[in-house]
Amino acid sequence: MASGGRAGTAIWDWPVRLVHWSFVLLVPALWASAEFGNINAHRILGLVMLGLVVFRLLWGLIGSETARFSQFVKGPDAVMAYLRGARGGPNTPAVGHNPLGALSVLALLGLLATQVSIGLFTQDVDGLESGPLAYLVSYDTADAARGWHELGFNLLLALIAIHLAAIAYYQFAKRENLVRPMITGRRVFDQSVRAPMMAPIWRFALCASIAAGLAWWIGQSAPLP
Amino acid sequence: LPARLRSIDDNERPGVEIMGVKRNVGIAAILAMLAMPVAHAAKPDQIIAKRQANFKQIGRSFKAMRDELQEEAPATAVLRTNAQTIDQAARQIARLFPRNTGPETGIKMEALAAIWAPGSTFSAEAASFTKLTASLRAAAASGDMARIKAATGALGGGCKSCHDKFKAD
Repeated sequence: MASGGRAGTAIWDWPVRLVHWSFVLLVPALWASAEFGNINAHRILGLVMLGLVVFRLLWGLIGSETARFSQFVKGPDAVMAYLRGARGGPNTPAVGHNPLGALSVLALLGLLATQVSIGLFTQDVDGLESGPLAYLVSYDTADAARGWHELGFNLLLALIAIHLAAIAYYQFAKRENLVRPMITGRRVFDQSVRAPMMAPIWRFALCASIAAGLAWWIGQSAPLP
Repeated sequence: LPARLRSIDDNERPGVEIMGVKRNVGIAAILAMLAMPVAHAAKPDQIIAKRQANFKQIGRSFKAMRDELQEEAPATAVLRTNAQTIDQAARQIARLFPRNTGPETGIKMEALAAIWAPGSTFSAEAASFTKLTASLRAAAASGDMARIKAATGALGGGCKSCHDKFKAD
C-alpha cells in the first residue's frame, strides 16, 4: 500500500528495462548493419532481437505484473475514459502502462515481432546472403520479403516517432517524466498506490532460456532431428 | 509536297523501285536500315520484360542450388540442371540490354543508366559473369561438392560486382 516515499514505487522490473533499452540500441544498430552492407552483423543482431522479442512476449504472459498483457491491455472504453481524463487535467496516474500507452506497446512489440520474422525469410539482392529460414520459401517470396522488410522498418520508424512524441508530451505538457522510471525502475506517486507484483528470478530464467534456445535454433536454420 | 521532299522523288536520278515508285538509292538504303531493327527486335518493353524474367530465372536457379547445398546429401541432378539453366540465362544477358531500353523508357526498373553510358564496363561484367557460370556448370557436372560450393560462392561475387555498379539499391 505504500507509495514508496521519495525513492518511489518500483514499477518496472529490470528485465523490462533491459529489454527496452536493448531495443533502443538494437534498432539503430540493425539499421546501420543493413545500410552499410554488413549482413553477418545484421543476421546476428537480428537473432538477438528475435530472442529479446520472444522473451518480452513470454514475459508479457508470466512476468512481473506491469509487464503482463493481461494487466495493461484494456478495452476501447478504458482508452476513451483515459483520453477524457487526460484532457480534463491531472488524472490518477497508471501504475505501469496507461490504457493508451498499452496500445503503443502492442503496436511496437507486434511490429518488431513481424519485422524480425520477415527478416528470417529475406534474401539480399545478390542472392548471396539470406535469413536463416529463407531456404524454406521460394525465390520470389524471399525476394518480395526484402520489400516487406524495408516497409516494416519505415512503419517502425513512424511508431517510434509517435512513441517519442508521446513521451515529450507527457514531459512538457503534463510534467510527467516517463524516461527516468524506465531507467531506475521507480516512480514517485502523489498518492498512495499498490506496489505491483514482481516476478521471481526463476521465471526470468525460464523465459530467457526458451527465448535464447529458440533464437539459437532458428539461427541454425531450424534443423529438425 | 515541299521542294525538299519532291527532290527525293526525282525520277531522273538513279534509283530503285519501292512500292511501284522509283526512288533515290540513298533513301532506299536508309529505309532498309530503319526497317531491319524494327523487323527483328521486339519493342523495348518486351525486351525489358524478357531480361527481368531472365535475371529472375538466374535468381531462382541460384537459390535452388544454394538451398540444395544446405542439405546433408545434396542431389547432384538438381545442382547440374540449375547450373545449366544459370549458364544459359547468363549468355542472354549482354544482348538483352540494347539501347533505348534503359530508365529513359519510364518503365520501372533497377537497371541504372550507367549501363549504357560511354565507357561503361557493363559488357566486360557480362562477359566475366558467363565465365563464372561456365565454371559453375562444369563444377556441377563433375559432382565434386567442394568445387561446386567454391563456384557458387564465386558466382555470387559475380552477381554482386555487377549489381554494385549497375543496379539500383
